[in-house]
Amino acid sequence: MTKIGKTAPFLHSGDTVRSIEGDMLIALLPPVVIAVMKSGFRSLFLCALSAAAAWVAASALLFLFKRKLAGPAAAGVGLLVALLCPVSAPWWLPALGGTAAALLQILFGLLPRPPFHPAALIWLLLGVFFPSYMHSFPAVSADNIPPVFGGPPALEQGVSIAHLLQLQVRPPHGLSQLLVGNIPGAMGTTSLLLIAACAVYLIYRRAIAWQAAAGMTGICALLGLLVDRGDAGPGWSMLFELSAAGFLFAAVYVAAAPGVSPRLPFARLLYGVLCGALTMIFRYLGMENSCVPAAILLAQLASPPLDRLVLYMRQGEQRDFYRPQKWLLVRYLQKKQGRKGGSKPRKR
Amino acid sequence: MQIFARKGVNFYQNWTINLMVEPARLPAELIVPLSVIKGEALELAVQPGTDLVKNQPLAQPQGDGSPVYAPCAGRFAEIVERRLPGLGKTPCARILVGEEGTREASPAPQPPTRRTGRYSLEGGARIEERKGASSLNLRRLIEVAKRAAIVDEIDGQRLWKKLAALEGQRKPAAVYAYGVDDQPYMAAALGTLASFGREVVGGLNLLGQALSASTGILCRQSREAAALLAEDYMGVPVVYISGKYPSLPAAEAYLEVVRGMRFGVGACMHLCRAAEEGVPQTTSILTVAGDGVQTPLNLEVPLGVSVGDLLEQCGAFGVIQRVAAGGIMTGRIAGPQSPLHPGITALTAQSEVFQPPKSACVGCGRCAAACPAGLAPFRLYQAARKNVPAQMEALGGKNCMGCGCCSYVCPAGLPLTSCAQWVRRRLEESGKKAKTGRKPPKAPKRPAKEPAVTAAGRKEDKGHDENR
Repeated sequence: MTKIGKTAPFLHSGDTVRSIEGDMLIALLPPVVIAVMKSGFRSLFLCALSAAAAWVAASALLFLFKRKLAGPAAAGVGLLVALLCPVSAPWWLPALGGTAAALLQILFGLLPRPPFHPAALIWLLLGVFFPSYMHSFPAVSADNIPPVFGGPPALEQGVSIAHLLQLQVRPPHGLSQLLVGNIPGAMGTTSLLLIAACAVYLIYRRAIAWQAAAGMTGICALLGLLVDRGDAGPGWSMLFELSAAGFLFAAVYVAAAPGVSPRLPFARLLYGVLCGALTMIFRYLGMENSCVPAAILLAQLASPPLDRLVLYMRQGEQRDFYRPQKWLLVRYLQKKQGRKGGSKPRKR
Repeated sequence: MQIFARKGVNFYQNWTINLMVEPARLPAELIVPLSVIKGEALELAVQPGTDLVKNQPLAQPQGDGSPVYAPCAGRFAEIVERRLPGLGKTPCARILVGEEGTREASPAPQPPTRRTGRYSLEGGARIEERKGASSLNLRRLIEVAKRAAIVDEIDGQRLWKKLAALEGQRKPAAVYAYGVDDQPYMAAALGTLASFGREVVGGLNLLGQALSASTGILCRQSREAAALLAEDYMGVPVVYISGKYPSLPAAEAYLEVVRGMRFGVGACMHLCRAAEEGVPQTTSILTVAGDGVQTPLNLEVPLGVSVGDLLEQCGAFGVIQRVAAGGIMTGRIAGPQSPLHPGITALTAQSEVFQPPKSACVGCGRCAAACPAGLAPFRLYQAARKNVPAQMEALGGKNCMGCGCCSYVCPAGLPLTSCAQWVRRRLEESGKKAKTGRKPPKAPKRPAKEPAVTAAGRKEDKGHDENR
């Protein structure tokens, strides 16, 4: 065991693991509000149920091992799973998903590095085992509000953007619908504007890796511009690709979450690009709904090698962050000397 | 002109201080360190029980080095051993100031009347002739700095040694007074410039002339600095550093381009005083601040004043949990009885200490994003825990500058900085071992023999981190 003395710094930023988890939980609340506005109080019921089930399950497991009660992270992962489910799902589905995700989170916490984001894994598994519940989204209208309690409600079904793009049909939604989230989809994943605002908050609070989120959305937007699947024009194609199958939501809350993404900034960018590229490849190959969790899980498997790759590229050398500044300074000084030289009297 | 420090961390501490430097109150007794530089061996010039005059040599170097002077008049009572922040156990001279000490026991240091001639240091007299004090050649300047025992506060090294290293080598094209206070609760450099601007510029000009280099001042961008220094301070151009903490990498990048060298503003000031008035360095300027003191002050402190005395002068209140000597990000913990040495420019008293609950690394990557050297502190931490030297080297462990950014941002409260510093020391030791082909010598547990007050008497290296 290496003996290490306690030394400077004697100051701390004040951010703790709990505060990061709290920030994630806070950022998950606006999508809940949007879900309530869009689909009524059933979405609130499902979210609360899932978060509570996750927290209780995690606390019970920790109690068994004589540990403290679970923190906000357990409730957060339960809420995240609920927001990835459609409002028409039976009440037990998000509860089951949330519980499983919270238990997986504790299990992964025992490893030196968690291999996957538990919510991404549960999202994929729920899609595989309960496709009829997970991939059918109710149409958005004032008459199509499900009852708060009870089993799966009989609702008018809508067609998701991912399905329409798969069929090479232009989705009929306008810009305001995309931004506000009035489109068929999972509860919390539809509003581009709100998710972007939450992403800004999380990046400001440094709760997520912005490089991963930016890399993932950037590559998706770029490929959306280049490949117009719905024949809607490049700009529209980009927006549809970003809002299809909860892509932006997953990029912000799942792919960029700390712990599962790489730890070095450049590796994070590579990881984000990998996530986005894999998603788009799966979409072009015909995977419609589970392309996002599958891509994220695959990329998360690659995140430790990405860290190692970046470290290997550096070879232990100190990085010169000031190379551009030095270059500019040299140019500035040369220019200044040139000016001085110019003011000298000319020889006759 | 402005340069930008783009890697590191931002601080959000709000605090204000009156920049002007005030003299520190002289306490009843001083504990003057007899060795402030590692490896410097000294022997007593006067015996305990002797009456001292101001600026009288207390200890003389064994061989090449600088003496230690009495910062005030008084009685040399005894030799005691005290822990100095960052230096470990050090022999110190206990001087009773008392009534006799407060009145001027030595002849007041008048400026020399003769235009030429050399003055001896005996009896607290002059160091350098006045003639030509405004332009000394490098050799003469080294002599002045050596006799005046000037310590450069930016690295805690003797100024004469830094200058001597330049002899026979390619000289820098520019010399800069480094007046950067980039850590919270630190304003000593700007305070020195505000109160002793003429001396700082004078010392800088002496250095510039001796090295045939242009001069400049490097300063942290702030409203106060802009108001005080503007673009040109007493004919010396000012370069501002804005952006994040630490400023050092940005400053070094700039100095690399202009082929410059930096010296502390305090060292420049003392050099000017030594050359013009003939007085050695027996004081240092430091900021006493923090949430544990009522009145943060910039103080000119005679060597040997204890931490407790300074805190009392600045109105310490409540329960002070911790006192950091030498900057809150890079300093060491100091006890109330610890005397101060010239390498310390800040004293921060903390009444509230925030310690994040420790947990395992959560993989947030904040340490890697903040590191100004581009290292991966979380990997260094793992390597240090496993104690794998090859891995430590491959991760660039020797490049850690010890700025503390990684520990500052770590939400899991991991001791990343101390680990990285440990890795660096270990790699340096193994490098030395590889060069010499044998184990690096261990510091002796006890001083060989009583007599000489030697620096070897202090606990070396191992205690460097843990000596509190």
